[in-house]
Amino acid sequence: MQKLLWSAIFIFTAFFSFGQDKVTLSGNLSDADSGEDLIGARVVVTELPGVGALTNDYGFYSLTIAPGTYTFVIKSLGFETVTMEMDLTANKTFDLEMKVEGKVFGTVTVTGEKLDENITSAEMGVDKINMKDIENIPVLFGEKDILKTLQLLPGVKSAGEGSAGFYVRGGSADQNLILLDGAPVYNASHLLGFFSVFNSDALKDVKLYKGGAPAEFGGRLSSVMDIKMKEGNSKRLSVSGGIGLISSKLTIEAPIVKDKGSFIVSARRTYADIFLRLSKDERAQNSILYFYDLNAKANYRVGKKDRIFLSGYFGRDNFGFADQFGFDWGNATGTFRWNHLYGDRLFGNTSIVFSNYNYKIKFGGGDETFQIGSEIQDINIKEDFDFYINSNNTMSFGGNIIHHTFRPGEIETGSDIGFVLNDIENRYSLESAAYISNEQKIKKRWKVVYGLRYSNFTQIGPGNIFSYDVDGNVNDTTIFGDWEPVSSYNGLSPRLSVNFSVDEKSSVKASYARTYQYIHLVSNSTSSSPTDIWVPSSNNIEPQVADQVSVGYFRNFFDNMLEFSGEVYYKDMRRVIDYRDGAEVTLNPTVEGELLYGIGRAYGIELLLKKRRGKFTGWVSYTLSRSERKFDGINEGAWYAARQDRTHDISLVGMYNFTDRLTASATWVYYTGNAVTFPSGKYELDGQIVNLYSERNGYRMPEYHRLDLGVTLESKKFKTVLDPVSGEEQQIEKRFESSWNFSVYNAYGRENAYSIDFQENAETGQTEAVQLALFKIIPSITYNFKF
Amino acid sequence: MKILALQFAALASLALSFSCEKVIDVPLNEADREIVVEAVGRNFIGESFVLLSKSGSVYDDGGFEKITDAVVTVTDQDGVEVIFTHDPLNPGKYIAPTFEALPNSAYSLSVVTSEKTLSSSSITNSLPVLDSLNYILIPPGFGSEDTTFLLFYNFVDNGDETNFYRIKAWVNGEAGSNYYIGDDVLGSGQPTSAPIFGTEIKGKDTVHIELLSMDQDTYKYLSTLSSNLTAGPFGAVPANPVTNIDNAIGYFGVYMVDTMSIIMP
Repeated sequence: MQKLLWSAIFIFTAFFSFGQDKVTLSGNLSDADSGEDLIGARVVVTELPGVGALTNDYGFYSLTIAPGTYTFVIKSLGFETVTMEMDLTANKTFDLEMKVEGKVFGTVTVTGEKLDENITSAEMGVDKINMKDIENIPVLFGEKDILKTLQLLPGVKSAGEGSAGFYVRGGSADQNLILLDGAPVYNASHLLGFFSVFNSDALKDVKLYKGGAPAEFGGRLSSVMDIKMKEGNSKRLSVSGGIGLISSKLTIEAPIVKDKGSFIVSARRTYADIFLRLSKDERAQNSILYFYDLNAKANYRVGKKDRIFLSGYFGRDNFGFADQFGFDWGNATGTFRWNHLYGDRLFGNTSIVFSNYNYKIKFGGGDETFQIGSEIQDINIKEDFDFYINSNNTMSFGGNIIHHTFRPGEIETGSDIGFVLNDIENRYSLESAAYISNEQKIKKRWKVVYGLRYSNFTQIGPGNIFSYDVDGNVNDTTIFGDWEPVSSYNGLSPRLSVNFSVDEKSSVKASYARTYQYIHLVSNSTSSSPTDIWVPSSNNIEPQVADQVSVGYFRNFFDNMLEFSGEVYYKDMRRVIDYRDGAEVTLNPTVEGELLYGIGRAYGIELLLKKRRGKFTGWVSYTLSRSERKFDGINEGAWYAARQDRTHDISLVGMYNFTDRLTASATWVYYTGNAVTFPSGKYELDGQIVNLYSERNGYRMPEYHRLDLGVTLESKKFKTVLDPVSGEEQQIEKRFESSWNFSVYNAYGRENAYSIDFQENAETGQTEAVQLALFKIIPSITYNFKF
Repeated sequence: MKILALQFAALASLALSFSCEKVIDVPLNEADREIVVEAVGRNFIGESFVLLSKSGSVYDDGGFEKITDAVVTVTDQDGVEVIFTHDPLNPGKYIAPTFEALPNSAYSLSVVTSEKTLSSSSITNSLPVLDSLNYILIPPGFGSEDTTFLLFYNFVDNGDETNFYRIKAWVNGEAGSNYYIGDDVLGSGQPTSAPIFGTEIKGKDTVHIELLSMDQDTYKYLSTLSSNLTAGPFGAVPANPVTNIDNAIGYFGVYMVDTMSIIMP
């Protein structure tokens, strides 16, 4: 397998060797106001139609053309276009700080994307979110949230009311790779999923690959969510913050050395616990319930060719009851990055990434304590290169190696507790990958991205490794020493995306991708819980594999004002995981014996119509889909609807700018209820009424729909002063900006079913179906400021 | 772990204090009627019994059909057969006034009904011994307006065998509805001291505790039964308990039991 990869690399490089009669223009594009790098900004050459370059995630571009005098046009949506003539006879570096467009005329939409990017790019199955939209779209408790907003796009489905978990194209929630500055975030939810761990004030760019992710990414079956934090204002000190109904937050960004380096620190904390203390209910008064998170990032330009970044996230949820019970969980991530330019065309990025997720549950106080903890920790070393071969080819290649540590159960007891419990043994593994991929323009109409990713997963010692019989009972134990390989898996993932531009307004795209997943989330509860544990592939658990094909049609109307896309996909999944009935997941050393392996299939059609400009903006998205599973031992081996199967899913999002200062927004969502298992009978045993189940997921929850409304009122952006010399009135931009956001979640008070339980009425003894709905109408108000 | 689930659900319900409940109409399919066996052996003479009934419709509350004409036999490892006879005073209940389960033994169950023949087996471990009960005082304000007690039971696990336990508590003769079950995977051969959570115990209450030891199949049945009973948004995925009876649902378990009582001050 390795041999094959190296031959592929050799062929790639041989194929793209080029003459030396060309010159390269390269450099960095950034925002003149904040110094933030511009992602996806473009440099085009007027004299050479179809020739241009896009900036990468760090604002770097490189364009190789024949020597000559050219007119370069530098564009980025929301920024003033710069046109200039340049005599390009030798390799040249050109950095540019771009000014925000039309600042005097009010609100701007900041996104690097070119207006017809959706048509020209070979990417498909990609959802992007404009950070400005996130501010206006109404959400629960006014707590703006990228994960919630992404769920309004086609193919992305909410895992349920009040859940930050999401399903992509019929895959389960653990099949999404969520990366924050390259570090995996293992549990993206706060407060049991009502909020995501991402504080949107600290974020710069979010991209979700639903299929056909670049070869750079791997390790999860269904999607990759690539989130980038802001770098921090390198021009001046800037402070922003918000005070909301349940949380407040503050962000500080400033230069370290002006134009050379900057930092950003953003913090958020909820204060729902303060309201609990006001409650009349004693149980509520003694309860502890809050979360906080902290994002920090710093970057420094060491020289012309080197730049370093250090970023981190730390967040924690705390749940407790007086001093008798405590439950806290959270993620910590850290990323060190070093960008280096090897010449004008080779951009290198070295990353060292740390990620940890853990939870702790504590009973009792003082010396009479009993504490359970669980943890997953990764250390990842990654090397990526972008090689700008010529104006038609951009190659990416690189590799990484991750060391995973799994601590399923650590138990600590206080000195007075009177008994000792043994920890559950740790598990270790190495996950490594190498990839190569090329984006190639072929003539004027074709753009192809093709690549190959090779991955390996090796379970290593030390440990007592169990084998299981067909019923899941241990039948053999082998002892392995430090770093001794236990089992190993390889995966070769081809990736291909093709774009054929029919004309300037429309294109047809197709993609294929194979993905492997080596670590699996084991959860035996209906909703996700912080105590769900990650288990590695092992001598008993094989990796999950998926193949996905998709075809799409993209068309823009009215000078790119309206954007339409339709995509069809089919995903075939193998060795997906489910559990034996009644599996014990928590603190079980032989949890691998509780798992069952099966196959899955998911297919659907996704439609999106988006209005991107004008006073009214927004979109309509519709998904028609199916997601099914088949396991020996579940549902008598027949296909059944997966929990994430939802036939129809509709989202309507509208935003209207009444004036520069006043924006109103509304969202409406509708979806078919989840597939659930309800009883088909009951019986009496041990003095209790027990439900009798027949088929798995044979019923549906009631359909879900909800309307949210929001209004954002911004302060005046300009003040009038008299010019001391001329005496004329002048409009001067105010430094202090503020806004009020009012929103109503579930405006018409629909009681959407969160759960349905079949229980006996305490008075009549009659069995009833009792529906629990979480939120009726929730109004909220948030004040945001920036200076 | 069930205790954890309870606490977790209680706290979660706080977080969900905006929620509202209502009774809705959900049409359900009708499963075939199944024979339900609850066969319990105990190490006290005359306390063993077998209950036979049939499952019913979810919305039908007319009670469950009892099976009164079955032939029920329990055989030990030496081939000694004991017939459990139907107790006309308790329809569906079969009893054997002389039967006494012994430690480190194997038993098999045979039930012959007019429809079909059912069978199962169960083994016993050594007799567990409850060493003591002790308690701590909980001052008023922690979930109750009165002074309450948190009762701890203490015993030493037998390190020579794999054990599975259930603790049952009665306060003034009334059984608690929580399932306290556990294995010795993490504490084999260790002294164990654990509290009876979730049962309110006040001054002058009489508390009766039973420590039951059982085999793995019975433990599997009870743990999956308790998951079935707590299914819901924070509970397990709905599933039938894992039965050890061929041809029916329910279970056959022979328990080794030790008991202890205490009157609170």
